[in-house]
Amino acid sequence: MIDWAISFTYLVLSYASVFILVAIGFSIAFGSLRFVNLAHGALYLIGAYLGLFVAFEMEVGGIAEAWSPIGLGWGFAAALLLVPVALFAIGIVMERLIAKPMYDRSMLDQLLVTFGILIVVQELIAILFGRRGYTYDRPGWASGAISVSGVTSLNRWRVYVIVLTVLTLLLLYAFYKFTDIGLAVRAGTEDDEMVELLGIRVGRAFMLIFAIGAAYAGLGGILAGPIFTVNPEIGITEVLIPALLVVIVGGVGSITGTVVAGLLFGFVFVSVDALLTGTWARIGIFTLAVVVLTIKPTGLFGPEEITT
Amino acid sequence: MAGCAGDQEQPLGNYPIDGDTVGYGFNGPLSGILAADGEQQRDGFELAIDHLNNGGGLVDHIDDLSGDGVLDYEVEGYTGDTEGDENVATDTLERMIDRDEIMFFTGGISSSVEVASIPIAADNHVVHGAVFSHTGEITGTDCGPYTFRSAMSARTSAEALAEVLPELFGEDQEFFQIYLDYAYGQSNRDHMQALMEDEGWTQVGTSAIAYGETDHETQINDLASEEPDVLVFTSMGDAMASGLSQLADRGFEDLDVVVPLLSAFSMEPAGEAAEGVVGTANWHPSGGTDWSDDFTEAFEDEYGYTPGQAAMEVYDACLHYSAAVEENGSFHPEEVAETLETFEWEYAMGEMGYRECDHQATRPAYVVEGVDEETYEDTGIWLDLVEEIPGSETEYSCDEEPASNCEMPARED
Repeated sequence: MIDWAISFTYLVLSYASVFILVAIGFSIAFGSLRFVNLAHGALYLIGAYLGLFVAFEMEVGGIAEAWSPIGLGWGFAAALLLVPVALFAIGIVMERLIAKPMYDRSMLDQLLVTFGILIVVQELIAILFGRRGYTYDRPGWASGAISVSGVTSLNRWRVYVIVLTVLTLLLLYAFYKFTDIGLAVRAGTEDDEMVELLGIRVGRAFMLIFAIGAAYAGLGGILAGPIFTVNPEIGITEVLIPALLVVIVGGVGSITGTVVAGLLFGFVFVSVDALLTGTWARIGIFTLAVVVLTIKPTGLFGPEEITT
Repeated sequence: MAGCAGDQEQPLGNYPIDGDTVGYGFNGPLSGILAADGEQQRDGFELAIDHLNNGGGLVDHIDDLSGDGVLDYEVEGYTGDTEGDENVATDTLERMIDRDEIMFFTGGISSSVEVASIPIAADNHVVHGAVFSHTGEITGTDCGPYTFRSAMSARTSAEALAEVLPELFGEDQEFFQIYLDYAYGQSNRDHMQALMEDEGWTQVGTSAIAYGETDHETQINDLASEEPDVLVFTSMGDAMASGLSQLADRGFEDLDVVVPLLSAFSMEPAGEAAEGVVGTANWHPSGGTDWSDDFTEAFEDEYGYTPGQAAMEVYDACLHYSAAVEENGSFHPEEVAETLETFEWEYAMGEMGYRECDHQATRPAYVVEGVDEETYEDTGIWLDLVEEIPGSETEYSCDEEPASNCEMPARED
């Protein structure tokens, strides 16, 4: 019984942490800035590939095959630290060049432009490095199994991902709740004109929060990417669709909603898979989304105001 | 007109042929995750066209083939990129049939694409050389009057593995199956269960994973609770690579793993994780007949890399179709199909021959094992040959599944 309980809890948290990781950066931009950033998938993708090339020296396909092996070979730990930083910087550039001019445009315009960026990035990566998948050759401390009281074994890296997801969520919560910039973002989302009139440069706060969202996307890429193979299509298949689902079901603008929705999806996925099969588990997730949105169209924690 | 024979021949599909060239089509994945094998297939196709028109390679060994075209027609090759998607595949195929007036097509990796091609071949009276795709349906429930599969079926692979696995891993083993939850995975699951249990092994459990899903954590959990000796893992591509990596992360790196069909697009992303994995392939360069070396040499001279099963199968399909046409004396599709139904040949892969009941070739299977990256870098091949199982030991009767599920439609005008 204990064995079963540990396994079940581990599986739910394991799946939920991946759902939350891929959704949180998207939730930040969508919720805080009212900006539909479908290029979030591209940021995750860049994070996953950048992690590979920082950590290892890779034999690649595509145009870059001529220069194989490519990479810095600085190790997995260096990649973990550098990728979010690099994506933060990319986020700043992206906010200034793409997001800022689009804040006042319709959601459809934002969607089309950012989806276009995702496709461009995906195809560029495919042309440069080929369409084949790559796996992270993680070091010993980041791979293998952990035995739990001799009862069952857990995937060591997935346990780390669960813990790191919790820590980064707490950081984000603290940022929104206890920092001036977090307060400025929350206020600016309500009424950016009033905030500007009060002398607060809300534009900078928005830039920072967008970059934080990008960093989270990159963090998702370097944490979740090593669990699976990395290929150009994961930006859409593994990130965008689950992220959209989690954020909308959780309630746009609510980080809490994103977390709760991620946990719910994890619970449903594991439960249905255990009772039926993996195909039904996917159906279960979408069924959950339909049920929630039918009962509460604004999602579990609603979109009307920023909450944490 | 060159190639016409008999007053009885009525126009059918793209027959009779206009002009002095005959079209052969290649319809396979040149982009997407299956491209590693698809590109090799295309190279095999183009080499076959070249040899059929100009001599060289195995054409020089085959009495029926002149090396100066087929029935005095120059062969023109047409290429379509299916992207591994059945909707795209049917579009490209229909374009080749309508615009390029092909008489024959081959290529493809995905079972769903191959199955989608069967009715198109039947409706348009175009001979379809099905290669690689493993699912039983192609020569089972979905068998077609113009579709001939020279590649192994899931049953063929399972028969070969049943011969070898007890020797490799021991008698009385307990095995668990993780499989893709659609026709391909279910075919392999059923055949492996039946045949391995006949060999005295015990299946202790199964766990399905959705097609396209790469997170195997719940399936590995199911496996962990059963503690099997061997895992039969019916998967492919990035999903297989993810699964093997996730197995190692749960402490199962020493578990004996069998993947019924192994190929480049699966082995590449898996890398070191696939070392020691046992499975089957349609051909291996170090196996087959003496002609294997001739093919390998011709291919390497042309393309600069060692061919695998993907290239060989398509090359072989083009050649044996052409030989059947020469034997028939005409490209008339219905007559060529009738000729193929009892056609036998022995090129590089060994003795092969089609059956009228399901159009499945009885043929050898190559049991192979994954190698480490260092060996791959030395040899250019991801797989080592373990044993070659002749057709006499891999064949199954027309009364057994999947053949028994085939109700072969008539070739209608």
